[in-house]
Amino acid sequence: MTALQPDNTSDPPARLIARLEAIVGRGNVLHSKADRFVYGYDASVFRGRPAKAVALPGSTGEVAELVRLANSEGLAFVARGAGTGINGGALPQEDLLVIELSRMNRILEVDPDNRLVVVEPGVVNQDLKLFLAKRGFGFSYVPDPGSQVVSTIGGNVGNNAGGMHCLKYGVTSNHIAGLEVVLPGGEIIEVGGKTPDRPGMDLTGFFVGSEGTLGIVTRIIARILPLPEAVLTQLALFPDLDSAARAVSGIMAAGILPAALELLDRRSMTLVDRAVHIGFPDAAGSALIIELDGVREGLEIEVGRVREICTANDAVEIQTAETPEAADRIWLARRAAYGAMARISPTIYIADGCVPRNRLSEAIGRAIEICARKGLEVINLAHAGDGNLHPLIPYDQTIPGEKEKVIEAARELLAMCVEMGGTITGEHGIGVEKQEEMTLLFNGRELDAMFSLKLAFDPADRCNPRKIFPVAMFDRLQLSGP
Amino acid sequence: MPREFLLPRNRGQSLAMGVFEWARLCRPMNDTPMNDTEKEMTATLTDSGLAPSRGFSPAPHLRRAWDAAESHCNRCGFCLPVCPTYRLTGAESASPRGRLDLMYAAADGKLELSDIAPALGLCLGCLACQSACPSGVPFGELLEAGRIDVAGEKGPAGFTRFLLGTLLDSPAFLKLAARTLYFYQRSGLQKLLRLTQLLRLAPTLARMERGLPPLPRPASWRGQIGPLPAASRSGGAKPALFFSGCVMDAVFGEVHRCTLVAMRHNGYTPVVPNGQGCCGALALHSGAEALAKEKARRNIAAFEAAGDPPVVVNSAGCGAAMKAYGGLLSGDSAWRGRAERFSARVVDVSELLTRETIRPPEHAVPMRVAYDDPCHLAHAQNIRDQPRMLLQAVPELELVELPEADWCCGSAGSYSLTHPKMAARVLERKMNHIAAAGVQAVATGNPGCLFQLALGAEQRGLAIRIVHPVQLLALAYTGREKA
Repeated sequence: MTALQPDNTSDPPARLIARLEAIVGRGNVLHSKADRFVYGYDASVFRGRPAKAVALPGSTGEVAELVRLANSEGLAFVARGAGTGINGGALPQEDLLVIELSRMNRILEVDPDNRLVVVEPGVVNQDLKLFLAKRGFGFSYVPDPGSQVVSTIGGNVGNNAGGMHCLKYGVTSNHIAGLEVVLPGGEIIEVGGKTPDRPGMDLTGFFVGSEGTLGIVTRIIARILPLPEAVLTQLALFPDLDSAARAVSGIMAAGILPAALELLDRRSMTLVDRAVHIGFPDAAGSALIIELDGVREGLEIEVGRVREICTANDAVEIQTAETPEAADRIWLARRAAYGAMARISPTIYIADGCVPRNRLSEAIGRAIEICARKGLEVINLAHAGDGNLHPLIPYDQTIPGEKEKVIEAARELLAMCVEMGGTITGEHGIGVEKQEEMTLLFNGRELDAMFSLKLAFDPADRCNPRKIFPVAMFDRLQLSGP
Repeated sequence: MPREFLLPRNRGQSLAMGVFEWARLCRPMNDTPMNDTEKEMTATLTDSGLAPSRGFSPAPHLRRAWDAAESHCNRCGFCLPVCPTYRLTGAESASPRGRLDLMYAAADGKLELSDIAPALGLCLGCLACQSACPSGVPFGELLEAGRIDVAGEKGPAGFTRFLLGTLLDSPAFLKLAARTLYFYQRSGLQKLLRLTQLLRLAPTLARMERGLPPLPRPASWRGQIGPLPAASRSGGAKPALFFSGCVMDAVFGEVHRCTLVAMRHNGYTPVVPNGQGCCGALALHSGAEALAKEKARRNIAAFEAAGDPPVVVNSAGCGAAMKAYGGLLSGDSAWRGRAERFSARVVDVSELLTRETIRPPEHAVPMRVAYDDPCHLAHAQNIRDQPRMLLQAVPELELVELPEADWCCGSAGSYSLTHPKMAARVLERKMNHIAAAGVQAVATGNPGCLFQLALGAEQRGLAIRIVHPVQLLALAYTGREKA
């Protein structure tokens, strides 16, 4: 009846397996020791418990039946997409049923007239984009998290994923028109829909970003946007971080809204250069990638203004890509960054936090100090337009204590972001990693208000249990009963 | 061929064990790993990836491979979309990331080797994940180490060992087998057996019979070889040492002949050193490390004796294995240096021929041809453009790009025998692309892939020729199919 179940990861009883198989079919239930073990990880540095069993449903009806079965067994459950979350959002925190949605990966409908697509949650973000491109609809699904070649639309919805182009186009929640959800009790509901401005409460907005703690999304109505007529990409190099950050503020203050505005620090530039040879000059201490898109005529004027603003902020060099190939070359500097950095050390940690845009350079400076105090290196990439910093901390997990040091540093980084007026995550959710940090951002009354909404949907905390909220809130719940 | 390679020393025991082992090997394994009753698993909140070494590991090869690895898995998942078994099952344990996690757990003693064996067995070993990995995790080396640990100290026993160690080293046996099977297929015997359904009496045999690809006509190629001209040593014609292999030699004599024709037309003088044999790749994939090392040493010695020209291979799997001899023998101080020098000499025939501009062939081959990347060329050796360049050099040949050309075809060494269901699903996806491409031929440079695609074409009744790229190039040089 409550969240915490006995610490027991022994094999699931044959009866449970038989009941699961009766719902999803024999080949779609995984329960060997190895099969259960690997559902204890995602792309975070944390480890959950092995799954009690794993079911791979093929339809909304099967998901609902699985949820009802879990309820009748008193078993908690968690929905999982590609497992690319970096905060442990999909990790089993107790002995539970993993509902793996990878089989529900159909694109059900493309509706160019209403600029909508209807997809199942297991569709991979990039697969949807490629599908739309191949069919020549002239539309695309915009949100582009760094994991887009792997991560699923369902996972993107759960975490309200961002991406490089969310500066202009908004995060996932701006692109979701409606959802079909299996509630924690097993009921199937539809929220939102194809027609805009629906009356009643905005439940769609409520489910997006709830990290699968309020129900399991089984169908998604997503918006698609026409491809921009023209795209122009610029690379501006600055002597230091400060001047680049001032240029970012200047661009935004001038009323220009770039599609993307990405910042690399000197260490990033060195590593990227080593991996793919961009040829950054030594004098450059930071780099900005600026992408402008829209109607061709206006774009040239904006490019000129961006150039003026960068020059006024001491840019040492500004390149404007004249061809798509040249634009690709500029973007390569950003795209190759993760790989370039992942190779300099046995493992790498990705931090995610936000500060007000105009304090980005200060935040990066303090991030470097925090890591230096712990004897850690840090490399800084940022979605500069959003003030979203992504310090990457290389480390060696095989050295005892090293990982713990990284996690401590990350906690200090988040505290710093909040202190500077920012938040504890830009686009990756809370999961298990940042649940205690929620108290930095919200007071008890605010957390209680949110928690009461969670409990209204899921009184027994069976649906992705013990996530987002501080652990103490769940412990209190366990003592008092639902 | 030294005498002792023909039969194992204790042949009686080995054969008896062998029949048993063979029956086990031939039984289709259940493609979804099954459950077993085991003790409790322990997992803590921050416990992900390799723990610091405590000096002892129940999986010593894995532990060594992990400790030597410069990169560890960050579990970012970029390997998931390129992994055929993950794409087809959606199961995490069927993904590269899952297999790495299981190999960490086994190295640390958190899981038994027997727990992870089915997951490692289901891996095709295609190494597409290695190409996709942003961190550069050496998946192939780890998989090999894992398979060696799973096979245990003695390696595979009985008939598997006999097959890998002895039969593959016996050109006489392989030739006999190839000719017998070719006769069986072409004489009408196969039709008769299939019509009468006699094979239903032996289901295992029947399954193997159904999986038998149509074999090419046996061809002699050694006639193409002359003695190494004295002048070539001083720099006139370019000498090159040819690796003839085991299965390639017995079954794909025509490919060998064409390879030699293409080399000669590009100014190379091919020489086939004596004493060479099977490369050992299949042994290593089955976890038979000692056997693989034995074969490596023999080939190194054979090619050292022939001087230092490049060692030319036309089989992707053999090339990848021989380029890795340096790593295989890195723990052997007497052989390490020799192995590294040997590995550095190994080139795929497409690499050799594209070192300089390919000599333009005179004859047109007006065909629509798709190129299918062998995994052990594209992912293991990063050779993608060179074979395509061979085909583009052929006048009037139209080269078609297949979707997912660098996906595995399901052959994967002996995989199609051990995991027939999964192999068939992987092949089906490949054949869908091939059927849609509307081509007259598919070119690919590996014996396993040649077999598998030929089987796929036959099963679908597609009139598509499955060839090695050098066959089309040789045809363009000579204007005729036969020697």
